Amino acid sequence: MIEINQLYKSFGKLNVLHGVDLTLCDGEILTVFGKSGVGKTVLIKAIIGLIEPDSGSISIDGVDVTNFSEKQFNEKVRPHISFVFQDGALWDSMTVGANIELALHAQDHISEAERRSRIQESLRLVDLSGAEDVYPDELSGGMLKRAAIARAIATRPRYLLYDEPTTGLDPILTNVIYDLIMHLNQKLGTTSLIISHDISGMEKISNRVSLLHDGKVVLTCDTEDMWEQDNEIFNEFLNGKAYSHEE
Amino acid sequence: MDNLLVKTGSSLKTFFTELGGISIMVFKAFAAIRIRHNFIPQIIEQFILIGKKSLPLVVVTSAFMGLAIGVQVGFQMTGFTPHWIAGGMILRTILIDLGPITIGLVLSGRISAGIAAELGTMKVTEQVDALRSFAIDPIGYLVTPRLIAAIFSVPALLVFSNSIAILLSYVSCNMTIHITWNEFVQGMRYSFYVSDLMTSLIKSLVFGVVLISLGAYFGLNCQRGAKGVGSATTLAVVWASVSVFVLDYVISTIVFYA
Repeated sequence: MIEINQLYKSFGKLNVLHGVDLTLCDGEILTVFGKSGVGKTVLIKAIIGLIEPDSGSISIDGVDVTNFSEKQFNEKVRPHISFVFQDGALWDSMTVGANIELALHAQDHISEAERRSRIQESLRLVDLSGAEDVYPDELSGGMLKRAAIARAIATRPRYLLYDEPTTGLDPILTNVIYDLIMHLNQKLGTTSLIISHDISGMEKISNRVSLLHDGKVVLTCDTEDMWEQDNEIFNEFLNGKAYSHEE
Repeated sequence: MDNLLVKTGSSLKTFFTELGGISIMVFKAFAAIRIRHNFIPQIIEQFILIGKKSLPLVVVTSAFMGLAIGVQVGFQMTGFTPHWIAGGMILRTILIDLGPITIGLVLSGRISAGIAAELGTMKVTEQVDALRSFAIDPIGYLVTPRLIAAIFSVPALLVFSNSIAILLSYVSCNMTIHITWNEFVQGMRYSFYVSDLMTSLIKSLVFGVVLISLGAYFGLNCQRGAKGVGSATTLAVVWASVSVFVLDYVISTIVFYA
């Protein structure tokens, strides 16, 4: 379980997060919605230690990791959490197979045979078998996202953090990614936190949804109850009005 | 006047902040040295990139540097000056200053700029964050192999550069004042000091470390977007070129007067 309490983060004079509270329960898929620039990516990067919060606390499986050093994050947090970046962030000078192999680098206890088997299994799970020797710039947008997911699951993480996994994809590929996320959650037993704008897509796969607004989580509810909430901001967001106010 | 003082103070503050950041990064890069079999291919790859692929450029620049200095020295050798003196003058000039400076400037354009652009692009496309997310130290993974490769490849390039420059300076001297090979070598023998050779190698070693460090530092601290990558590359080349001249002076002073 990941628990975030009263998390604050500013960049200069820009207050991005001010008092975020969020809980990610074991085995679930939780989606965090929110307008662009509201701090969703900052929030999930803070969980894995890529961004240091100003105050508040983040605890993972009961351990407060807020003030962990880079070394502590490397030893105690990152082996158990994988991050799927918005644009994949595959290392473009190496093949897909080498990308996955490097992701396994920190796990010293894995034998060479196990490493090879994990690469092949990860690619098979995302339906990219045979793409081991392909370079990222030779992949289509959907394949790139799937390759990034393959890299993320190769380390057998307990938690998967997805930063807008379907941005820029057509509806068919978007559904492929959703099916994949759901399949991985069930097959590998991972707990997933997804950052997204896609309400209808996330409604299909999430157990719960949260809305981040003005640097705070204004509401968290079960997905099946999301259309029955008595929260003006949340309802405006669901009806697309949050965007119309901004633009 | 006050405005000038404020601007100077601000520039000095930025300079020392950057210097501090670079020093910390270099310290971390050396602290990250450990023998792991999966980093050895990277060191070899960087050795090829820094050393082998820079060789044609180094050969061409050194050749013309040698030809030019040969013409210049030949021009000074008029009248009753013995020809063999030319060999000694050329040897010491190339060994102590011209060789290392040429290598430094050529590599600041090729290596520092290349590393800043590569790592800067990795930074803005979140590839550096991706390394961190998989518990891989970006400095240990991206900077350390380049530093190790530079420590070996830049002095090796210098040896090539100096040899070619000296050989070609003999050719141009021979064409201008008809100096013989024996006279040229005699002059070099009279003027050769091991300390000159050591100075040359020390300079190339220091330049190698500094050029890699500057490229890596500005790349890893690159700001957003294509503009950020461009600025990082420019900063790396400017700092690298200036550092070559400053360090050349500092090392020469230490070696010859300390």
